[in-house]
Amino acid sequence: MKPILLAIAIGVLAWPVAGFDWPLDKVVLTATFGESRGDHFHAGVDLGGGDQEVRPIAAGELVFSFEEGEDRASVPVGLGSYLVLQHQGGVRSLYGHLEAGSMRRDEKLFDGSGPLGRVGATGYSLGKHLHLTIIDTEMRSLINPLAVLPPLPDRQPPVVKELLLRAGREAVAARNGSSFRQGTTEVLAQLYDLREDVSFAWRMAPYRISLYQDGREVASLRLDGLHEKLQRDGTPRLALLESDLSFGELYESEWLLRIGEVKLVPGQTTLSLFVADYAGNESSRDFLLTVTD
Amino acid sequence: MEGVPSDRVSSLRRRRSRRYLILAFVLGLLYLFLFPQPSGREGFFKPVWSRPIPAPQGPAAPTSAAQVPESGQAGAERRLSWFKAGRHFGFVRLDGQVQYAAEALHGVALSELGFINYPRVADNFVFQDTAGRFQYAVRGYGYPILDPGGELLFSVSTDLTELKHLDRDGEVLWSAGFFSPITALALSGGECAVGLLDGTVKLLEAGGRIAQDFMPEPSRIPVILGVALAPGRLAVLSGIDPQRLTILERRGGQFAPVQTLATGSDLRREALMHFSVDGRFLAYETDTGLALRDLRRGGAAGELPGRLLALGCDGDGLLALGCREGGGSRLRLLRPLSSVLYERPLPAGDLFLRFLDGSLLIGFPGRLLRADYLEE
Repeated sequence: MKPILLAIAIGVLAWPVAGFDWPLDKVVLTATFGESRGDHFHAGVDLGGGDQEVRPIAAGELVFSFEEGEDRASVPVGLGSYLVLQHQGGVRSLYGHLEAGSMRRDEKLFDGSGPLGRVGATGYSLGKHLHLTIIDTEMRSLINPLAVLPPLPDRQPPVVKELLLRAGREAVAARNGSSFRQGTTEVLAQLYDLREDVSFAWRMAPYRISLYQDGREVASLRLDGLHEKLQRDGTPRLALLESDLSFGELYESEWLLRIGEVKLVPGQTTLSLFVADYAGNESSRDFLLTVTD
Repeated sequence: MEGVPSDRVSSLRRRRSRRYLILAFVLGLLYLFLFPQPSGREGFFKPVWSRPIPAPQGPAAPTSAAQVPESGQAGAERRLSWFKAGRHFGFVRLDGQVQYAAEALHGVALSELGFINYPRVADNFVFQDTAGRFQYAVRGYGYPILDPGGELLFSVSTDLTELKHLDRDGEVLWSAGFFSPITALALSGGECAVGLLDGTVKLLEAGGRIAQDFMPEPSRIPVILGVALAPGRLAVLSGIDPQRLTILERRGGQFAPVQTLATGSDLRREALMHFSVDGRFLAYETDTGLALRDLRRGGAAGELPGRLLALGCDGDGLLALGCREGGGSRLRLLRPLSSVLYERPLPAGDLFLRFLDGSLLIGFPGRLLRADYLEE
């Protein structure tokens, strides 16, 4: 195991012991970590649940804050009114879109029980919600809050809508019995997760995706964290922790993901796609394909 | 002086010369008190025009002419500047004629060439020229940033982790992603100094490549609270406990620290920082007000109380500062290393200050005015 993965695993195991808790009394998850935001990953989770107080996820110290309409900033702030706390072990939590004027930023230390503000709709926001980001400064990564906060009840499995194969420029939907030409082919999948406590089909990103060819794993990715990856041109880019995929490498469009590549040889082959959400609900679909010369 | 030890002789001589020095100093002081001389440069602030902000206009529809003063310098008087006045923004000529005015949807990126007025939830950046005419539109996720010249367009993601440089066709020229949100940003000549929550500053070249990754001297809690960039100079305000100011100068292509000092502040928000036009002075926020630093001499150059609202720098070394005072603000005009030249309270708690060709434009909700500082 790579040292970075080992450290993350230790960190993930240690965090529940450290006692991180949800920052809201009523938690309604409305966006998950790693979703597409047009041209970049969503680097946190969005929590609805209406007008309520926001608590720190653990005891911490105020590091930084911005009050919309009050503070001057050198960079336009889509997070609206937000503040950042530092916790033990180099972990920082960021609370965005807080209600204007509700932040308790005169207090430097938070014991984890008292409120730090109220849920609001400041900044780039379509309605009242809390944007929560968790940063591991020691591991230099953004962490999926769902991986380190207490599990949320959810029995709704993710949806695998479609599997597409692309050789050359065109992507073709795979069906049982479909024929494809031999060669190395990119596999794309249209998939998403659904929440059971949202009354309509509100799409969110899943947590784990695996692709198997004839029972052998050929691709696997997790949306568990993001780290900086230096590109060949010298610019830093955010990429998934384990698979090292940047946004442009993963997302074809909002819900169409590039999963990996398979090598098709003449005959029959079965592609199996497994998708799991953060609560462990799984969906899978098999595609029996015929490969021609 | 035979018989007197030589060290005793030199001691007596030193004491005598010290007495002469003290006497000369006292005589000098007496002369200044008894025969005062005018300094020869007495300054005053001359209001040139003041006008309410007109109702928002459509594109290229200039307002009726303001009360334009007669002037022989017609060319200079027609120079255009952007302004802000509370929720309003626009472009005004130095003679007082407002070329364009509108209300900001949520925010506005202003430049010499035009502006992008963007709503709270924006997915397109529409660039309009100084008369409000459409120039180009690009797809953008997040909020736009324009360099002061208006030639360069950037966008920052709403979660502050991605910075992109776009061209007029919406093509991404470069994109930089950071694991730690951006807390401060400074642009100069195509270069970007990006201050991050994790306590590092990334210096990006015009092509987006990381030219330098700078980490200031450690504090108990690392964080970047402010950055300022000028040709050959970078200033960084960082850390909690202690909070430090680091001045860096470019040496052989890389910035190297030349001064570091603890500010004694405990800010936990962005601190505004600005170099003077000639790069000699640095103004930066502290938790009690604003501090000025003389970078040539390496010493403090003044301190002013009040939360900073706006700051304008003139090419001649004048600084205009707007600081919060009660429910309003206080405007101060000064030269670093000297006393405040002019000050007056203003009723507004939201100020815009910008120097243009020696004239100061002052904007606050509902009103815009020009004043010239003259010395005679």
